[in-house]
Amino acid sequence: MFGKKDKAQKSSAMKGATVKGGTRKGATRKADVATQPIGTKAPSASPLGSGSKAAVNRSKKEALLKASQPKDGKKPGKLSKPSSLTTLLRYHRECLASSWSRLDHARLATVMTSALVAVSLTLPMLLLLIVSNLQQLSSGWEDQLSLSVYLKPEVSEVQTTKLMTQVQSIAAVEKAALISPEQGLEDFKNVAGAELLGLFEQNPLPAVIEVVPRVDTGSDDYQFQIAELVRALEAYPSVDEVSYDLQWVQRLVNYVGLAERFAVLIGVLLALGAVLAISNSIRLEIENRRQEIIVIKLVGGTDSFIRLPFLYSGFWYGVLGATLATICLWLIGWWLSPFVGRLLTLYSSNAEIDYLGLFDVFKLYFCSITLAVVGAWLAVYRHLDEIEPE
Amino acid sequence: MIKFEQVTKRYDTGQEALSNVSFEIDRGQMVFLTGHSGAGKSTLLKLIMRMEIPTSGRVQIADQNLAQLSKKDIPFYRRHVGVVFQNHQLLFDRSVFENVALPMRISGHSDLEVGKRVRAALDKVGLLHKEKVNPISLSTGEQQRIGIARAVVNKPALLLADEPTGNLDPELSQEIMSLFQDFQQVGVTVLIASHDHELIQSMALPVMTLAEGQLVRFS
Repeated sequence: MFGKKDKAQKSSAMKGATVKGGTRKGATRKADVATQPIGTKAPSASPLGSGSKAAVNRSKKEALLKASQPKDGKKPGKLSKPSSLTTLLRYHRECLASSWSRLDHARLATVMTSALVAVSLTLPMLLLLIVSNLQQLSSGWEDQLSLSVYLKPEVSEVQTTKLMTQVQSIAAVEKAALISPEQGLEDFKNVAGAELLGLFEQNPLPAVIEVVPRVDTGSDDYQFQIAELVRALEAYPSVDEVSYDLQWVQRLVNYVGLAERFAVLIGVLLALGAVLAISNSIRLEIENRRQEIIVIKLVGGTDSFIRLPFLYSGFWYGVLGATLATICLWLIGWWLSPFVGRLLTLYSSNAEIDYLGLFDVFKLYFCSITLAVVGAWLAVYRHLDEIEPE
Repeated sequence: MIKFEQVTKRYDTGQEALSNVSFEIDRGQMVFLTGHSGAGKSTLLKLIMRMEIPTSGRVQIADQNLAQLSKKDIPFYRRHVGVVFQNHQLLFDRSVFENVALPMRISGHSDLEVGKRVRAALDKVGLLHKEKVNPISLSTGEQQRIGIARAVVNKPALLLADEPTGNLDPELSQEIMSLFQDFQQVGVTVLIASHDHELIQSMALPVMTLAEGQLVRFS
C-alpha cells in the first residue's frame, strides 16, 4: 500500500490489458471531458456511472449506514467491511513487499540497524554454542563416573564379601565390582610390567571396590548426591579411602553452568538493546510517514491497517539481523575450527563438535524476528496514537 | 442525515467553538456553511467527522449518535463520509491513481473494483489522463479535483468540503461547485464550508451562517 507507486502503475497497466475495452472506454470518456467542460454535463449524467446505477448504489449506501446503527444488534460498521481472508492476505503480502522496498531505499540505515541486531545475537549465541559443546563433552565424561573404594590392607576376605553386599544394598549404588588384590596385581602387571613388582615382598595393593553411582548426571544436585555417597562409603570401618578422580569434571561442569548463565544474561541485555534500537528505527519511519498516517486515519483506515507495514519493517529487520548473525557465527566457527580440532586430538577425544546446526539457525531466526517485531510493536503502540489529524 | 441537537463544543483551552447549535440537514441536501474564520466552521466539520466529540448535546449522522461510536468503529464510520480538505491532503510519494485508490485499498476492495471505481472518479473530475502522474506536478485546481475524486471514490453518503475553492479562481470554483451538485443529484448529502460569498450567492442553495460559535442563520 505504502509507496508502491510503480507497482500500482504496473497493476493498472495490467488491468488495462485484462479488462478488454477498459482502456478504450477510458479514451472515449477522456474525449467527453475534453469536449464537454465539467459541470455542463446533462443532469442525467450522474457522477459515478449511469443514473439508475447510482440510485442502486445510493440505496446500498443507505443500507450500509443503517447497518452501522446499534439497533441491528450487529457491530457497527462491520457489514461495510468487505475484507475477507483473501483481501487480508493480499494486504499482508503488499506490506511485506512495500516494507522491504522501503528498507531497501534507506539501505545504510537498514544495514546499521540490522547489524546491531546481528551483534546482539552473535555474542550470546557464540557463548551458548561453546557452552553446549563443553556440556556435551563433560557429560560424556560423567557417564564414566565411578568411585574407587580402597579397603584397609588388614581387611579379611569375609569382611570384604560382607562389605560388598552392604555396598550393593545402598540405594545410590548402581553397580559395585570387587577388584581383589590379586586381580589388581594382574592389571598392574599388564600396564607397568612385572619387574617393578619384584621389588615388593608381597602384594602391595589393597582390595578395591569400583562403585558406579546411580545418579542422574543431568540433575542439578547430583554432585551432592555423590558427595553423600562418598561420605557413606567412608563411614565403613573397613574402608580406607574413597577416591573420586573426576572431581575436575565437576568443577568444569560448574564453570560451564556459570558460563551458560552469563551467556543468557548478556543475551537478555543485548536483546533489550536490539529491541530499543529497532523501536527507534520504526519510530523514525513513523515520523517520516506522519502525513500518510493522518490521511489514512481521515479516510477510515483502521489502526491495524496502519500498523501492519511497520510491523513488517520490524520483521525484515529481524530476518536481516538473523542472516547477518548466521554469517558471522559461521565465519567465527570456520576461524576457530583448526584449533578446536587440534585440542580435541590432544585430549584424544573423538567427540563431535556440534556448531551452528540447522536447529541453531532456526532458533536464531526465531529470536531475531521475535525481538524485532516486539521492538516494532513498542514503537507503533507508543507513537501511532499520538498522530491524530488536526 | 445530519442532526445537531444543542451542540456545544468547548476546547481544553476554555475557548467555546460552538454554543448550543441545533440544525438538521436532510438526506440529499446540499448546504453551504459560512462564517468568518474562527466562527466554528472547522469545529462543526470535525464533529461530523468524529475528530472531536461535543462537550454537550448530540451529533447524529444517519440516526447514529457519534459519541456512541467506539474508537474501533470510527474508521468504519469515516468510510461513509467523503471529505475534501482545504489543503487537499494528497500524498506526493505516489501516483494520482494511488491517491484516489487509498480509501478503497483501506476498505479492502479487489484490484479490479479499485481500478474501475478510481477511473470512474478520475473521469468524473476530468483527470483520467493524469492517473499515472505524481500529484505534485499538478496545478492547485487539479490537486483539489484529485482530492474530490478521492472523497467520492468510496461512494459516500455524506460529502464534506472544507474551503474547497480556497485558492481557486472563480471559474475553477464554479466547476468544482457543479461537481458537488452532480453528487447531490444522485442523493449524496453535501456540506460545504466556504467564505466565498459571491460563489454562495450564485448557487441559490441553503446557507448556514455561524458567528462566534452560534448558528445565526439557516436559510
